[in-house]
Amino acid sequence: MKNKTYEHLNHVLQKHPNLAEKIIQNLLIQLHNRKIVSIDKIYQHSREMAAPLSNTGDKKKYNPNAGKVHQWGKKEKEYIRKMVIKHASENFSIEEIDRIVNYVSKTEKAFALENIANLPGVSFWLLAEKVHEFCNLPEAEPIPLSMATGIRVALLKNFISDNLQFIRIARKYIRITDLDPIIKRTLGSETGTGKIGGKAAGLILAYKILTDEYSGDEDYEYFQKNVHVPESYYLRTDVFEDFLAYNGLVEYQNQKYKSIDEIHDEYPLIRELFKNADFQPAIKRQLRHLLEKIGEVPLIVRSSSLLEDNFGTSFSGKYDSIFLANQGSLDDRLSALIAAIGEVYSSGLGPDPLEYRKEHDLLDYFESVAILIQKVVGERFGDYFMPLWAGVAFGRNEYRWTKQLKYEDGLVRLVFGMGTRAVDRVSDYPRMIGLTKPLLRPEATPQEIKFYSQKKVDVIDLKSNTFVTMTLDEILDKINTPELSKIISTYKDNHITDPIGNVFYQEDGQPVITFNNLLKEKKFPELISRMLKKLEKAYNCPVDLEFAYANQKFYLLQCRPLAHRLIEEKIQIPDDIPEEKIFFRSERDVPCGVLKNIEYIIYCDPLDYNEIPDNDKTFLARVISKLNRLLEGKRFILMGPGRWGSSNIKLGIPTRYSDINKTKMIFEIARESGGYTPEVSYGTHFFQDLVEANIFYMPLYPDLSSTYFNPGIFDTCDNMLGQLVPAYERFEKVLKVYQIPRCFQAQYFHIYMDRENQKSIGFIAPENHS
Amino acid sequence: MSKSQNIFEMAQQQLDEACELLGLDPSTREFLRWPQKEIIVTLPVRMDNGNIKIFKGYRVQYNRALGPTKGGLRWHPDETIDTVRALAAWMTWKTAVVDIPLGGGKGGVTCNPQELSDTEKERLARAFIGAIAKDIGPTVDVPAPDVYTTPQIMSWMMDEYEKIKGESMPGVITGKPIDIGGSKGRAAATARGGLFIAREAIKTRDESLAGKTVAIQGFGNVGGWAGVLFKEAGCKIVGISDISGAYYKMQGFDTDAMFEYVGKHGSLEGYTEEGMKAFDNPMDVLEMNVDILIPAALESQITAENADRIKADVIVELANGPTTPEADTILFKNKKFVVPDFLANSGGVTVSYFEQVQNAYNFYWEEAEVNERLDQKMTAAFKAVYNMYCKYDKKVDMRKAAYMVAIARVARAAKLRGWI
Repeated sequence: MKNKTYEHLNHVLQKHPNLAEKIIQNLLIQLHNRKIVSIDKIYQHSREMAAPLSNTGDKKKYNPNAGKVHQWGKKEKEYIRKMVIKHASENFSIEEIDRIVNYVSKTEKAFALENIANLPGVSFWLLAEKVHEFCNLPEAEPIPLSMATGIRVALLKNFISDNLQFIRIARKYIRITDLDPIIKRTLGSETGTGKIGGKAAGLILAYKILTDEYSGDEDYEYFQKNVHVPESYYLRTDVFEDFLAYNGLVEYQNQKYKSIDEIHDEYPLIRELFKNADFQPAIKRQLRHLLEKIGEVPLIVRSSSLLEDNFGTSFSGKYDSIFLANQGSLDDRLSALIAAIGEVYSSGLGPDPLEYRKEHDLLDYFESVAILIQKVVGERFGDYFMPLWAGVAFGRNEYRWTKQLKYEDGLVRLVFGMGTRAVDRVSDYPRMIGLTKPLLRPEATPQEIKFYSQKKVDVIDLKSNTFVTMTLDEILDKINTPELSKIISTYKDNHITDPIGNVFYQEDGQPVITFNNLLKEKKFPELISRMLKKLEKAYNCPVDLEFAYANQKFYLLQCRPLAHRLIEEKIQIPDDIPEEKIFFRSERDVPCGVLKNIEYIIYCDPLDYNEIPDNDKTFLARVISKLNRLLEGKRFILMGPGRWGSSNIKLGIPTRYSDINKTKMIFEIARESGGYTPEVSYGTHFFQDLVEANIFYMPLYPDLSSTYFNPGIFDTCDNMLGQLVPAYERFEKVLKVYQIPRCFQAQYFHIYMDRENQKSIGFIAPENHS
Repeated sequence: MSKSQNIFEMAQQQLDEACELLGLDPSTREFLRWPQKEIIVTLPVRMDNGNIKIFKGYRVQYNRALGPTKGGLRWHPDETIDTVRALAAWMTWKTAVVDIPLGGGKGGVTCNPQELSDTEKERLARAFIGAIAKDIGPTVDVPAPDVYTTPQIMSWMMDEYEKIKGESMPGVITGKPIDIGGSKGRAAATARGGLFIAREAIKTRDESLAGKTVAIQGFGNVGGWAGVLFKEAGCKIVGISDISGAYYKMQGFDTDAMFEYVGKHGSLEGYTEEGMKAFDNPMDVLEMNVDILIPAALESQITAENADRIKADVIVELANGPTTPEADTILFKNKKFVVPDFLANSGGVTVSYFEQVQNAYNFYWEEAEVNERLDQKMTAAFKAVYNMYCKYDKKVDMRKAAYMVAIARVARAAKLRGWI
C-alpha cells in the first residue's frame, strides 16, 4: 500500500542519496528490533527474489577458506531496499522515519567532525563551522558514547586545552553541543589555531559538572536553579602569539631565562610596552564589535594561560586580572580594553610568575596566554558597581581554631563588594566561615567581632572609570536594598544586633559586616558545601572556587583544583625532649607535618622590629630577600612579626613571595602587645603559594597561655647575619641568623606538627631525630 | 602552687595591709579574708551535634554585709574557683568604696566561647541559670557581663530566670540591652565616672579641669569615651595611644572624630589630623608631658621600669591594675597622685546598680538623670577616700586609703548585723 509515509520515505531517500544506504540499514535494524520483521527473513526473501536472475551463488564450489559472509549482489540489495521501504511505510509514522533519518545524518556528520578534528593544524573557524553544523542538526537519538567521546576529546584538545588531566574529566561532562556557544564567543583570526586555556575551561567544566542532567546525579536541577556563570568571551592563545609578532615583542618570551634581578629591573618597561601595543586590525574589529554588543557594562580581563589553573600548579594570583568600568565612548572603551589585555599579557613576564615557573620546572614551555573577558558580576548602586557579596571557597579548611571544625568540610572567605578583598592579602578581615559550622567564629565578644570585621569595600566607580576602595559608611550611603539585612549587623553599647526581617536600620547603631543573617539562613553555606563536594568528586581532588552574588543570583566565577598536601599523616609529637632544648610549643592553628634537620633559623623579634624606623622596616625585606637567595638549597626557616607577604610595614615585614620562597617554613609571630593582630593568612593567595611550594606555615601566639615560646635558647648563638651579608651588618640587632649545628654541637632544629590534635613542638636534637 | 591561687593570696594580702592600718580585730580580719558563700555547679549541655558536654560553673558571693552581692560572670577556658574568689573580693571593695548598697560577687563558667555557636552559648547560659536560680535574684545576688559574656548572654539568662520564677524580674541581671531593661548611659559610664573623679582630684589642688592637658593610653570603649568626655569638660587631649601606636598633638586632638574613626576602622591606624605626631611604640604615651594621665588599656603598664619617667601629676586608673606594686612605690615617692582603679573605674558598677534600681521601679531614667546621679555617687566616693588619705597625713597612698574606706564600711555593716 503506497501511503503518505511511503511517499515521504522515498522523498527522503532521494533527497539524501549519499545517506540512502545507511538509512535503509537503520530502518532494517529498527524493523528487526521491534520484531516487525526479522533481518534474516528479509535477507532470505531478497535472496530468493533475486536468485533466478543471479548467475553467481550456488554454482560456486565449496571453498573451506572462504568466509561465510554473503556478498550482496546489486539485485539483492534492490530487493532488500524495496522490502525495507514497504515494511517501514506500513509500520512507522512519518515522525519515526524522520528520527531515523536524522540519526543517520548525525552519525555521518559526527564522523566527518572527528576526522577534521583529528587533522593536524586545522583552522579554528573551519572546525567551528563543523561543530556548528553538527549542533544544528535536527534532534535525533544520541550517537554512540564511544564515538561521542572520541569527538569530544579531539575538540577539547583543539578548542580548550590539551592538558590530559583536564581532558580526562572534561570528556565526561562537556558535550559537543556545549562547545558551540563557547566557540561563538571566541575571538581570533579566521585562519588561526588556538585554544581558550585553563581558567576559561575550569569554569565551563565546573558548571557542566554541577548542572549536567546526564551525569546520573539527581541534584543537577538544584544546581541549575542556584548556580549561574557570568557571560564570558575568549581571546584564543594564537591571538597572543600574533600580538607579540605584530608589535615586535617576541624577544621578551626569553625573559624567563634572565636572572631574577634582571627580570625585576626590566619588568616595568615591559609592562609599559605591552600596555601601549596594538592588535591587528582584524582582531581590533572583533573587539570593537564585542564592546558594541555588550554595551557599557563593567568587564574583567583575566589571563587564561595554558599553564595556569592546571592540576598542581594553579599560579594563583600571579597573573593580573584587570577590571574595566567600560563606560564612555566606544573608542575610549576599546583603547582601555586593548591596554588591559596588553597589561595582562605582560604580567606573565614579571618576577613572581617566572620564579614560580622556575620552581615548578615549567620554564621551558612556550607559554601561550588566552584571555578571558567576563562581565563583572555586580549591581549598580548610584555611580558604583559591585556584587553584594563575593569570596573564595576552599575544599579543605586549614584555618581551624577549634577541633569542631573539620578539615574536609572546607572554608569560605566572604566579603561585601568585589571579591578582591577576599582573595588578596589586604589589611582587612573577611568573614571566615568554617563550613562544618558556618556560624561559629573565633571572636567571642561584640568588640572583637566588630574589630575583626571587614572595614572597607572594593567597588567599581563607573563615573571615574576606576576600581576604588571605599569605607563601609561611604558605600552604605549609596545602597538601599533589603538584602543588606543579610550582611550587616549593628553594634551599639557593646551589643551586636542582627536585623529582624529584612529591615536594616543604619541609624540604630554602627554597621558591622557579619553576614550573620545570610549564614543563619543556611542556604548559602549549604550551596557552597554541596558544590565543593560535587566538584571534588568529579575532579577527584579538592577544589577552590571564586564566586559572587548579585541581582539575587549566585555566580560561579572560577574553579580549579586546590593544591594541598593530600596525605594527612599521623604525627606523633615527641614527649621526651628536655625542656632546655625546646624553642616553642604551640596548640593553635597547627598544620600537619614534620620538618627535620633545619640548619638555619632567621629570626626577627616583633618587639625589636617595632623599634626600628619605617625605612629600615622596608629595607629589611630586601635583606631577607638576599638571605633567601643566599641560603637557597639549605634548610632554613623564617620567623617574624605578624604577616609575611603584606605590603603594610605595620603588619609585618613587607616581603613578596619571591623574597621568601626558598624557606622550608614560615612562622608568623602574633604578639598582641607588639601591636600585631593575629590574622592568619590561610586562604589568601600568598598562603596558596606556600602550600604549592611545600612551604609550611604556622602562626605562633606567644601571649597565649597554651603557648611556650623561648627565644632565649639562642642567647649564646652567634648571629651569622654579618658574615653572610656583610653589607647589612647594621641589621644585626633586629635580624638574627642562627646556624644551629654551629651553636649546638652539630645538632639540628626539628619541628613536629600534629594537625589532628593541634599540638606542635620545635626543638634542638641530633640529626635525623626520630 | 598555681597562678590563680597567687591572685587570691594577693587579694588577701592587700586586705591584710588595710586591716592592719585600720587596726581591725583578728576575727573581723579572718571573716573578711574568705567568701561567705561559694557555689560550684556541673552543667550538662547538649551541643549542636547532639552530644552532651559537661561544663563547670562557679558563683562566689564574697560578702553581702552591705546588700545583695553583685559582680560579673566570666566565660573563660582557664576559669577556676580561685580566680573567681579573688575577683569577688575586689568587687566587694569596689561596691563599698563607691558606697552603693551592694556586696561583692563573681562567677564564671570554664568554657571556650570561641568554640561555641550561638545556640550552644544560649543553652549554656540557660543551664547555668537553671543551676543557680535558687541562689541569685534581685535581692540576693545580681550577675552582670564580664570576660566573654555579652548583653545577649545576659538577655538569655534573664529570660531563663523569669521563666523559672514565672514573673518579670529584669533586675536579676544587669548589663542587658536597653530594649529589655538596660540603663541609658551605661556605655560611657566608666569613662564618665572617671571624669568626675578626675575633676574632684584636680579640685583638691584648687584648680579646674579647663585647659588641663591629658594623655590617654588605650582608645577602646573606655579610653575613647574618656577622650570625648574630658575634651567636653575643657581638657586638651594631647596624647592618645592604641595598638597602632602613640600620637601627640600639642593643640589637642579632635577626640570625637577619632572615636568615630576607631568605630569604623577598628583602630587609629591611618588616622590623621593636622599637627599630629605619631610614635610607633604605644607605650610612649605614658611618658608624655601632661597634667593628667589616664591608663585605659591593659594591666601592668606602669612598671618599675618606666614609673620614674611618668611626668603627669595626676593618674586616673580607668584600666584594671595598670600599675604594678613596685611602680606604685615609685610614683608615691615622686609625689604623683594616683586614683586607684577600683575607685576611678567604679562608674560602670554604679550605673549597673542604677539599672537594678530602675528595673525594680519599672521606671526608666533619661540619660541626664543617670549622669547626674552618677556624679553624686562618684563625687561622694572620691571625697570619702580623699578624707581618709588626708586623715593619714597623706602618708599612705590613695590606693590604701580607698581600701581602708571600703573595708571599714563592710566591717561596720557586718558588726551592725551582729556577725562579728
